[in-house]
Amino acid sequence: MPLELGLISEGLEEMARALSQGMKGDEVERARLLLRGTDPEKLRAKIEGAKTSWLLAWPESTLSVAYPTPESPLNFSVAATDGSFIRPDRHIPARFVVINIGSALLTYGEEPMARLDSRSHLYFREEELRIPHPFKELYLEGEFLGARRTVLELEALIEVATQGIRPAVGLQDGSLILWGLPTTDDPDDISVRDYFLRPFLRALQELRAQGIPVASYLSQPQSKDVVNSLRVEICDNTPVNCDKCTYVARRQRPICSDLAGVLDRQLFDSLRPGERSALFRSSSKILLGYGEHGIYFFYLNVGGEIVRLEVPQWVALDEKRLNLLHALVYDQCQRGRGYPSALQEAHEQAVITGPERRVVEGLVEEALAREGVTFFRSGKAASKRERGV
Amino acid sequence: MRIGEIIETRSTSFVAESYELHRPPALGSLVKVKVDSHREVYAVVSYGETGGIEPGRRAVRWGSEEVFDEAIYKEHPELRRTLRTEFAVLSVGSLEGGEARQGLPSEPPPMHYSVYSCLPEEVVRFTEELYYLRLLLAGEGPVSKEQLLVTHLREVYRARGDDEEWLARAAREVARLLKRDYDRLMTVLLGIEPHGGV
Repeated sequence: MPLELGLISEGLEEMARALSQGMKGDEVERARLLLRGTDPEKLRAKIEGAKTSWLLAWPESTLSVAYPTPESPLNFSVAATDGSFIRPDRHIPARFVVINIGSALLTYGEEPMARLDSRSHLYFREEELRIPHPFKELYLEGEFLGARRTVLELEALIEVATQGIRPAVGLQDGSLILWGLPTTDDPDDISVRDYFLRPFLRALQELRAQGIPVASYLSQPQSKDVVNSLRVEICDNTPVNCDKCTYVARRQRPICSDLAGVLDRQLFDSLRPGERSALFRSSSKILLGYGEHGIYFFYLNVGGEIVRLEVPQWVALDEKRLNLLHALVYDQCQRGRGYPSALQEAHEQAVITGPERRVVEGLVEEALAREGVTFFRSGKAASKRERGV
Repeated sequence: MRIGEIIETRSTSFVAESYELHRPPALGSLVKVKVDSHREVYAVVSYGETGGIEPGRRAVRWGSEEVFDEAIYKEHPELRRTLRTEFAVLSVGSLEGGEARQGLPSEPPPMHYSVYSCLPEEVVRFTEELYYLRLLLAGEGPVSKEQLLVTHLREVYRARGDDEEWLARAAREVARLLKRDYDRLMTVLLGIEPHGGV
């Protein structure tokens, strides 16, 4: 075994020591006190005039309010989709991407039922791989690949969720905010953004028309939007403008930096199991293009952890839909030991295993060979495939 | 009745996934595969098992004070899609052109073909001759050969309408096959005793 565990474990101990010393217990406590003492009306006014480099959460109500789990209906269904992909491989002369979308439809109540499925999408044509742009060479990779997957997941969700009994909710893993898409006002950037946003918003609109509340689920969220708003709350510059911070100008530590290491989920640690937090609106710049599907979020104690749920405006501002979603997501986490069963099964359907990846590679190689295209693997790629001793 | 689909196949045995979770054919019962219009392979069920479909996913406990047994499946409908029941069988003969032949089939039955349970008249016809019992004693599997033989003989005895004459004939055949191994022979004979304590 070439991995020297002895050496690693020494390092791990040091890492753990450093982490425990660096825990910001006092700061988290301070942030929680702020959460309880902040007047949402005043904070909104302060946020409105603020210029910060970070994302701010717009509070829709008293910040520290907690809602207990609403009642679940007797019969209902939960649909979920998840995706995985085979990225373009520079060792193969043919450029292609495979996206596999897994789906699960779980029906509960008098007639329990489960439907698990997956669908693969192959992209290889130039017009499929290339993102339209007048002069930049943009391809379906990185953030764009992630955005395409999210769109496919949402489109699959319509198909799956509409087959279940009502009421039904739809779940996706991750975020409904398409991070990584260009957000400038440059017309070419706008066209790239719309290339992904248009089908995404169309899918959200369809789910809305079908009366299916949808949410994305983030386990172990790293977000700080609410904490950032509290940083604005404690800032004593008027107006709040990070570019003209008086502390920085005096070469001092800004008053808000005490909260910089706190995460939203630590802030909402006092939620009891099943309780959801107040509702906040995300201020991500990309959401300017979302129109009436603007993204709101709240935190939920699912038992073992505080998770973040993102919902479009038509779910967030409709108490009935929001309560249904809250109740069913919590119920899913109870059934699924801390993670929604439907998402877990959708993930299992989506996963592309190592052997499956090799089968796809083999099929590509064969197809290319039939057309007279042969190629040599790089020495490194070949040695990884044939691990002789 | 179609009861499963072949997912592993070889000259001596094959494995099928059961159409119904938790409902493999009875251990020791006779099943068949229709290879084509004039050939069927006969086999004896030698093992059954239920587990996760995904190799890396082990079953975990889902029950609680209030929810247990069948109620678990109601609360977790996905279990019926993520678990599967498999059964293994030992090939013991074939039916070619209406004629039963005991012994290994000339080739393994094809992958993904259907496995059927046998009707009582098919059991009666195939088990008239007892040569095939040798194959059960030679088979490999987690169930001991003697216990497999016992359950098989009792299955056939019942399928033949409590045929005492056949059971006596089968017992004599087993005695011949195991004449050099008293302990194994007695395990089988005590196991099939129709009025005994078993």
